Amino acid sequence: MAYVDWKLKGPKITSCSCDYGCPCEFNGRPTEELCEGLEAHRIDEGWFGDVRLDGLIYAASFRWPGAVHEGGGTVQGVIDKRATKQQIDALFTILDGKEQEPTTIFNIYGSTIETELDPVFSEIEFSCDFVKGTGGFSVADVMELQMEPIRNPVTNTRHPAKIVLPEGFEFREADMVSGTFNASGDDLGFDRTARYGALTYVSYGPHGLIAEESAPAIWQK
Amino acid sequence: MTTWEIQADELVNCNCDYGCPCQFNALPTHDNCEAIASYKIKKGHFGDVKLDGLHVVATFWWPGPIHEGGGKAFIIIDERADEVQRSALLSILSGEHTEPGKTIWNVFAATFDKVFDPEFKSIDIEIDVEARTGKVNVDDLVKMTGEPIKNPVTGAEHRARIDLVNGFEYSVAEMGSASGNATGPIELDFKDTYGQFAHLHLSNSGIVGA
Repeated sequence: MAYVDWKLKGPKITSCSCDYGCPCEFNGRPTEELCEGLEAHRIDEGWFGDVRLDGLIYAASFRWPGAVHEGGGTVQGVIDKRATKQQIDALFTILDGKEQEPTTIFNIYGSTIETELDPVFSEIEFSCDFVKGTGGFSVADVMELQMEPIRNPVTNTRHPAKIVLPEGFEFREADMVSGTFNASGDDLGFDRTARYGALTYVSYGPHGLIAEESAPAIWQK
Repeated sequence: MTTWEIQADELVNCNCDYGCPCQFNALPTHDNCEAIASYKIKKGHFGDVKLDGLHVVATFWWPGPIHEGGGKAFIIIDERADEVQRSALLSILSGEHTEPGKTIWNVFAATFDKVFDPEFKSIDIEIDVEARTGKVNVDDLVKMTGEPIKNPVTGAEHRARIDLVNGFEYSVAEMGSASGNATGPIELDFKDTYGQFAHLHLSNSGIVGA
């Protein structure tokens, strides 16, 4: 099937309620039995057909009552307030899983969502430093994430660990960090200290993750 | 310090979930750590003593996370090893002749309250790291199997890896699912829990080439 051509490429940061390393990445059960967290993706290079998306950021907070694949999820999307009407339409089309194969990240996660809260349009402050192992993002009055390196509990030195998923649909390689975060709202409020955090670089298109433009390939160039 | 080096295939099964949070310095899934480790040595030496082809299995138990100590260890050495080889392997697995903190065995040694007398047994080990399959059998003492993790929705094999930049055991480990049972001084029983497959290459100063 032919799709409108599109791309979302750039650094992506995620944190959730699981322990460092998140067992779900290995098809284990979530640490706290439920899954809640947040993520943001900065589009360093992106487009949807003729509409350029470079420089925009999108983010989301989410909760599932059990493991993600068991469904029943709630999601709160956030779109960069700098986006024009055309760019908003383009982003919604992509994030809704349209103009792409059923096996993309947006369709796989989308199939587990039961409640989609009205999107927020706001400024999103975003940072990601792969060398320092730090990052974070904030949406004023809605959600905030701060990430720092995991440290050895005995020596306090940095513990640089990676999860590598050679066939991953969300990322192929991610640096493990420690995330502290909160989200407010009647339908989706939570906060956690020192939980699973991941820094990665990904490029998504209509046929899924583009490996040669994602970590680790992009770091080896 | 006697110079030594070992290249071995490893299958480890512990009581944690798939992905074992301890690999990331988080706390163990069920509050304490229990494990069976098996090593199939391809090539190795301890000074002039050749260790090629020998097998080793160990069982471990700690009351909490490993780094809080209070652990127990029991080592089983291949009965085919002669006296000199036995003492060489026990020395390496006890963390001796090793720069401090540079091998998993040296790190572990500091966390044991009790190390039981070793046994010398016939040990069968088959490990295919890339396929994530393995089978270990030690007479009446230990049985362990490893297989790929399966996707809970599609049933497809799930390929996942943990890479550690400053590891003291592995640089790259393939994640699997393992089940194990051990008797003797440390009794253990795991069903479909953390399975770790790796090619180890260790020496006095830790991971070779890291």
